[in-house]
Amino acid sequence: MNINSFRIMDIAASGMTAERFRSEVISNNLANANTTRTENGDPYRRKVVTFKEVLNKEVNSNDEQLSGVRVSTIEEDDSPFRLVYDPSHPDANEDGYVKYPNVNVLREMVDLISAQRAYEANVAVVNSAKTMFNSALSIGRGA
Amino acid sequence: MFAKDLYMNIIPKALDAVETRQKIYSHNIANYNTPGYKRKDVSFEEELRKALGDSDEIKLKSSNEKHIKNIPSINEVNYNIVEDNSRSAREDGNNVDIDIEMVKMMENTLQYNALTRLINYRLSDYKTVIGGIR
Repeated sequence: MNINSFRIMDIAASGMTAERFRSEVISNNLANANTTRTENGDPYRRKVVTFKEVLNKEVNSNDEQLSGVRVSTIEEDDSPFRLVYDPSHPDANEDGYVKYPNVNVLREMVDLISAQRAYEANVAVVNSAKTMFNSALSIGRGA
Repeated sequence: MFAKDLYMNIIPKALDAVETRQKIYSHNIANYNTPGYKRKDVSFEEELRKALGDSDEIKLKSSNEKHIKNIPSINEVNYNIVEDNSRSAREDGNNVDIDIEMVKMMENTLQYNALTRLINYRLSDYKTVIGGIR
């Protein structure tokens, strides 16, 4: 056991941060599922988070240290908007159609569950690392 | 005092390897949603088995440190990080299965606890020897 041992917890924490951020973006998508007008005049576009593996170079050596994950980009989904016929809507076009965001609520919910499960998995990692360190601390105690 | 004690030499090495393995599993789980990520693992037991002369390979006998060795000595046993390039049913090219990873991690934690218990037993053996009959 050395000082790098605590990196297990750092890695799990990076996973928790990334998954929580993903949940935030998903909740933003859900909150804006019916936003027909944003600042640039278009309806809201669904945002997607992508993750990237982090490898850090160790000091004084070329070995790469696994350091977990981080959010690499937030991109917009380019799929077409949902068209709903509603002539009385203020944002309706000449034909009476309203462009609604390309957010599929079902899909967002599924993604949210996936993010939540991944978050829980990372919490379990922290707990098991804690068990490990505690048992390392017990070496020589009962002897 | 511990130099010739096989337990005191192997167990700390094993603890080191098991701890690194925990780090790798933690990294795998953190990258569960990273597209294209391939899971990693640590190979240690195979190396150790070789060093202990438990494999099928014929060991070259050596009576001097400078002799050619085909099998590493206990002190040279090291763990390796290996990448698992197998494919999976997942669309994003990632082959981490969260359930397998969790089970492996729990197994690994138990192994770590078992190793610390072993080293504690060994230490209490020493204590008995030092203390004698009191």
